[in-house]
Amino acid sequence: MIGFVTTQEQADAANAAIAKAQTDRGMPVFWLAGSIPIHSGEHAGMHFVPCDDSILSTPLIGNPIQTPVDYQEFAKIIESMGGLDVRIDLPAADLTSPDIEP
Amino acid sequence: MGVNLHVDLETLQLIQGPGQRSAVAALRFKRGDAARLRVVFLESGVTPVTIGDPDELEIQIGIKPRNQFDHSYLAHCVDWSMPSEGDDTPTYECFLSFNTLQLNSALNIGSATDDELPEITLMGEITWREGMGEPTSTRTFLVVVENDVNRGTEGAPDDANPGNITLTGTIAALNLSGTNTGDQDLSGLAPIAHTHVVADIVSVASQRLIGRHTSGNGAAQEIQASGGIEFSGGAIRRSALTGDVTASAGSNATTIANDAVSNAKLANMATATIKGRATAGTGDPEDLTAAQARAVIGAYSQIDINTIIAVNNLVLPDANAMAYVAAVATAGATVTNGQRTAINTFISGEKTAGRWDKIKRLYFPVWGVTAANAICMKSLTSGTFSGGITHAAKGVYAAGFAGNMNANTNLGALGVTNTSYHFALLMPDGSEENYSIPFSVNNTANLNSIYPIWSDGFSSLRIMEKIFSGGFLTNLPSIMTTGNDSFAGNLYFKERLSGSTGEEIIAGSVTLPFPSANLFIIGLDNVSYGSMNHPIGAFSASTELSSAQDTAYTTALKTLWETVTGLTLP
Repeated sequence: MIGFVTTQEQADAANAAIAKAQTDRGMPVFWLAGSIPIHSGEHAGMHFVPCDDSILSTPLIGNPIQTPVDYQEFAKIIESMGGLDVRIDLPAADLTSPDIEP
Repeated sequence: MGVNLHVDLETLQLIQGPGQRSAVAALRFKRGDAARLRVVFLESGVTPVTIGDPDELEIQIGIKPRNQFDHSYLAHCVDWSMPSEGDDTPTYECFLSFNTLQLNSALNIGSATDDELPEITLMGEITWREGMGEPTSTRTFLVVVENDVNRGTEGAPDDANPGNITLTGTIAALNLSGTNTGDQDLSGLAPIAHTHVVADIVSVASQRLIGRHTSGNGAAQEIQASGGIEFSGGAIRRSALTGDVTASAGSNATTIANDAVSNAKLANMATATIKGRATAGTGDPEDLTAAQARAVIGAYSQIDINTIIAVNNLVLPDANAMAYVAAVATAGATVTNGQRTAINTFISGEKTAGRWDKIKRLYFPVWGVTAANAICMKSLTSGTFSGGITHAAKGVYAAGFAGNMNANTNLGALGVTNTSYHFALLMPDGSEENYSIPFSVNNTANLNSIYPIWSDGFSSLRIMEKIFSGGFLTNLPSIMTTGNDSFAGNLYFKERLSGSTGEEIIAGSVTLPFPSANLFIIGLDNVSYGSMNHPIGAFSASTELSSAQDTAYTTALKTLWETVTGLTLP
């Protein structure tokens, strides 16, 4: 799974900025990148913010379709997290909650 | 002829002279003459003194018939000369006329019936007063007036009572020149125009009227113009009107100001009427009934409309349907006429069937756009998608394993409880395996949770403490529902395919209350591995639907989804 590994605080800040970009346009908060705690692996204890191609191409609104990358704020958020190049491919198993038995 | 009189200021009697304090018995005068009287006032009957400030002193002598005190004067004089300052013998003088109309009458002079009298005995009195002080009078003394023998030299007789002059005629016809003292009786004057000009009237302050505002008769007073009256040049006029009705000052042409007539100031109207005019021609507004109003605007009545609908088999747009279509269109979805009709048919049908009120959340994420897919068809509120979500034409699912949609509310807030619940999930394709958790309201550590579609062979299908076996599941596209039927006294879980329905019944009811956590769809909050990786075409949370209602509902939901997506569930 491709995304950013970051602290919970920075993950929350990124999602808050995404939310603000929507409310500033008079819209409800209908989309967030999300934030998932990393339960295992070398990044255990950190948070994972998904940011793969499906995230970047999420059709937020239509006529015409606009994706997150069409928003100036989103580019700044990516930049604040170190840019797309710092993303990693995290094993999905590292995100699996121990409360869920596969 | 001069007569010296001495007044004893101690006894107030006329005495013989200074030091001679015996009283004078009587004074004698001759009719027809004017007697010059020289009066000396003696202090203690001896020393001549003045009796007051000449400028303030008033002296009069009056002669009346004896013992007739209320009779008018026969002779009378108020015009006295005062002694000079420093005079050793201050003397007060006057000329008292005995040629008066009244005295002549008393002596019968000129009488056609009575003989003239040789003399007449009268009474007299001298009175003096200084300023506003109390008057002082002598003792009454006798006066004898002898009739005269030689006549023809005296002038016309005077009036002994000039203080009561009676004037007749008009002022213009009278000669008021000279000196007129005392009260003047003008009552006999005709109230006709006189020659006084306005300037002769007493001076008044600027912009005042002369009148009387104090109660009772009395002197004239100045009266101001106020309270809407004002002076304008040489006239008074009404001041300008302001407010709801306006008029310029002095003008009777009033105007109702714009926006001044409130509804309260209009005449009362009969219930269920509106202002208009049904009568032909121009005229006053009228209160129109609904029928009249419809006739005016050319509208149909509800009865007419219902008839038209019935005759033409029409379906009217439902307000909720229009609102939902508008909301998703605003969010960027493209809604065709066929899709509008399908949505309208579905919502109208749910209302007709009495299920619409039971539905609390209904997500229909087939629009391919996040903002539109997040909108609840019932509440028009927006959920929040999070993580990697694929928005396909058939529905939404997690791209990978990280994604969900937060409904931003919980079941309790929606009125969905363990004793009144219904969940529906339309799954266009894929199996229910792979740890799919389409919706949850609690964490996975708590087995007392709602994972109704979790059929992994481990946790199975569960509503809190109630667990279904799920043995009938086919892993084919379907609509899966679960709910309670309090009338039947059981819980049901159904997998509805076009050709058949798998169903499992559990007797009894859910006893554990539903969690208060927010309702999530597709996956759990902050948990990626349990996200639904097969599309969800529709999801709803409702209060109790009986098994029969559930059947009808899933049929309608299937029709809606198939019509809107153009796809077909097996």
